[in-house]
Amino acid sequence: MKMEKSYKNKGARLLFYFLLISMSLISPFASSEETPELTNKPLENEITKILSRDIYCKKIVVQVRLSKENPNEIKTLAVKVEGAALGGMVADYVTVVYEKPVIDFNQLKKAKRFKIISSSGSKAGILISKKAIERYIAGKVKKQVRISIRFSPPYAECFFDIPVSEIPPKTMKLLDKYVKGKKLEGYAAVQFKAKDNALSILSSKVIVNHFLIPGAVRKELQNSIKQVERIGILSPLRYSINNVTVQNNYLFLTN
Amino acid sequence: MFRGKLKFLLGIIVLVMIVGAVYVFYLYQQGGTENYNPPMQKTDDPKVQILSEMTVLSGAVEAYYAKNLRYPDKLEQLKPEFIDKIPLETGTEKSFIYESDALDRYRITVSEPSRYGFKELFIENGKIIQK
Repeated sequence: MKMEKSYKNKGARLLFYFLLISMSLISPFASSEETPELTNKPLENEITKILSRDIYCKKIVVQVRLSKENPNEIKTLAVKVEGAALGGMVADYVTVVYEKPVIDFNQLKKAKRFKIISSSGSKAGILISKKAIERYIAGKVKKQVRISIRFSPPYAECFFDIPVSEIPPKTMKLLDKYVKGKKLEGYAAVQFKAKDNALSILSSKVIVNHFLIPGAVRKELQNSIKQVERIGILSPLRYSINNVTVQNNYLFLTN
Repeated sequence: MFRGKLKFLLGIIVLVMIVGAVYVFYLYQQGGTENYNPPMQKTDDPKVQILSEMTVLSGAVEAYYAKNLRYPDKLEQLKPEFIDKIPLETGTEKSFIYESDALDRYRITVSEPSRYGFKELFIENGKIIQK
């Protein structure tokens, strides 16, 4: 009786192993038929490790795709950095894609440094949410200053409530006629311009304390403020931002 | 003679004051919270309009890539994070033709380019091609 039971167990075990082995043999063929995409996981992991040491951020994703014709050649190398500080502002996503990049493997292996010697092209995209901008502004101004942002493509709308004491005298001189009381309350619709990693603001409509600011005063105001923000570069990634668009949830900066 | 000149001068001053008051009233009227909205951007030129729509769509596709490291399979995936609504072709109200291989390439094509004075009109990987 005991013998019979052990034979039964042995049979079941054998059947289980047979199924396991046959499944493991079948599955690689099935997956290779579906996606012939060539990647290089060890290289991706190595670059991710090195970049994580150099860039302070939430997460880094590296995607290496190899050429189908020549598996030794990298077709594209994409690096996505989440929650990285660009100067004072935290970008939600910074993505740089290099086409046919030539990586300095000596530096990578020996000095554990990531360096791209050359590439046939590159594409950079930075997404900054309105929350990130509000946080950045809140960090720069006093608590009494209230500023909120809304994205209405192609404009960014800004709602503000600022004590007069916080306004620079030069700006105050221009807005003197419109100030009644101790604060500047109102609205501004702005657009952005970017060149060589410098981000500037162009105002299209400004309302202060129930008065629509005339175009001439608005231009003068803009010239006096000339607010230019430098977009930080995440070393060792290289990019030059020259274009900016306002989208539903993000400010999208590209090269 | 002098009285006439004085009257004329006073008339001009009064006129300037009236114009000034009307202008101030206009600025005040335009400054209410109901006017807290961006300026309208309108163009009657369908060529300019279609190029603008395509550029907006292409920008949204590029932004999707920046977040996901792949292009969307269809334009609907851009909503609502990157675009409020997918624009239709000006004039024909047809949907733009969108093709993508997810990783390397995407193309947004106008179905009737001749309507806008082109033989071909599309955006491929962010580049406008108009022939």
